[in-house]
Amino acid sequence: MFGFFDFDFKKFLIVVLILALPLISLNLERRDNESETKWYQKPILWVVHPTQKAFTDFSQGVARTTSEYLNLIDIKKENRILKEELATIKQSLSEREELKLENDRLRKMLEFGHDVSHQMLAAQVTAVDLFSSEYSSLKINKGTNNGIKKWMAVITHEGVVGYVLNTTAEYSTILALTDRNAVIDAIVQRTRARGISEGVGRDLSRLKYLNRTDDVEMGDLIVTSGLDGLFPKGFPLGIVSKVSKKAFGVTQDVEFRPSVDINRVEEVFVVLTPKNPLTTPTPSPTTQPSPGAKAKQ
Amino acid sequence: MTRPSWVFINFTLFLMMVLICSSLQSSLLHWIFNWHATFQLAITIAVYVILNRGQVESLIFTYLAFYCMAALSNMFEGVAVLTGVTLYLGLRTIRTRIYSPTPTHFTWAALSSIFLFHFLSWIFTVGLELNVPRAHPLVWVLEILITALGIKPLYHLLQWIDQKTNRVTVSEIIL
Repeated sequence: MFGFFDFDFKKFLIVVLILALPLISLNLERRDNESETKWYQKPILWVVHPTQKAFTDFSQGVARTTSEYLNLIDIKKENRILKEELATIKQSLSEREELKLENDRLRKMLEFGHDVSHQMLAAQVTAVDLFSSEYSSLKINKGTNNGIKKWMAVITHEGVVGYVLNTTAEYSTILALTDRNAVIDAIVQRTRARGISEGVGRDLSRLKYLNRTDDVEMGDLIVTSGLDGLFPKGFPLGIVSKVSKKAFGVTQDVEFRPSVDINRVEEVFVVLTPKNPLTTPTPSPTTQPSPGAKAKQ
Repeated sequence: MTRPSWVFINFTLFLMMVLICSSLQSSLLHWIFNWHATFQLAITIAVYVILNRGQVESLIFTYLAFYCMAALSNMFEGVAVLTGVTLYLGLRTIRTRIYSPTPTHFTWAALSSIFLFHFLSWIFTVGLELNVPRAHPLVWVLEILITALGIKPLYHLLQWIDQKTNRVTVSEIIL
């Protein structure tokens, strides 16, 4: 009858101690503004990063070789179609260039501050998050040796990828905008309604803290507001896929599909000199505007 | 070579395999399959060590292996190690009851551990983080099915490594 109380207290203590150690380490874990990796993580990353890069280079080499041979048949046809599209785009670009120049002239006349060119660094994606079903992060082959620091924005020509979370000398970890811990200040391009983009995971994000009265529809483009000092203004985040308003509450829920497919991105640009509207001084009237962003390898 | 040397070599070899397999999962296999599910080689190796080593050695290996895996992810290291240690305790308990050192039992133990790792890490994240993640059980099941394709050759490979490094698999360990 009293056998129920006969248990090994020593084993129980050991089990509690074993389970308590990771919990204690969670409390001690600091998420501060340090950009450098901690010393005890460096040996792990020193082994892992070159291995990931080697695997990535191998797979991309195989894929490139295969696609070159298999796609020869369609290349000629595609070439003709692309030439026609290019001609149309060139004409459109020329018209937009004229508008931009006129805009710049008007800005100078009104003595407004205007966009400076963003200095960008191209990088290759070498790996994704190990547990990509719950977390969205990427690793790129550039680090502090190339001038990368924590919180720098990462983009592609299609839109925003995320921002730099951690760096080593040679590699960096990017927190993708679909990760639930990624937050970016965003606006709806059509109506300028402002909210905060937060990742939901699995190729989906949501725009939070939108007023219930804000006009948002499916198909609207979400862009960066530039007010967080991280991202240049106007970079595409995604397209609205769902708008829902509850019967009560002051906000509405908006979900959007990111413009960039995080699972397929291979090259990215890290914005090295973002424009911060709170700290960037207004340039003098003699300053000439630069013809867009410059990318450097 | 002395026995401690073989133990050290074997331990280091398995830890390096966890690192390399984790790198393989997050790079080459991702580019090939482009899914959220992949071959979970790293957790399988950790399960093998837990089931075929002594208490202290397998516990230390668990701490290091899951810490290394967390270094390749955005997952908190504490959550990963806590999940790994919980798996360790569960596997060691089951080992004294129903487990036998055959490929079939190892396959069931490893595949269950993969699913439990995702489930338990999700539970711990819900309890310990402010931002509640969504669970994707279908992805976890898909991962088990994919891993099942290659788990038997992996088991024989690990056994072969143990033989070459003069490690006798410990089959009668009482928790």
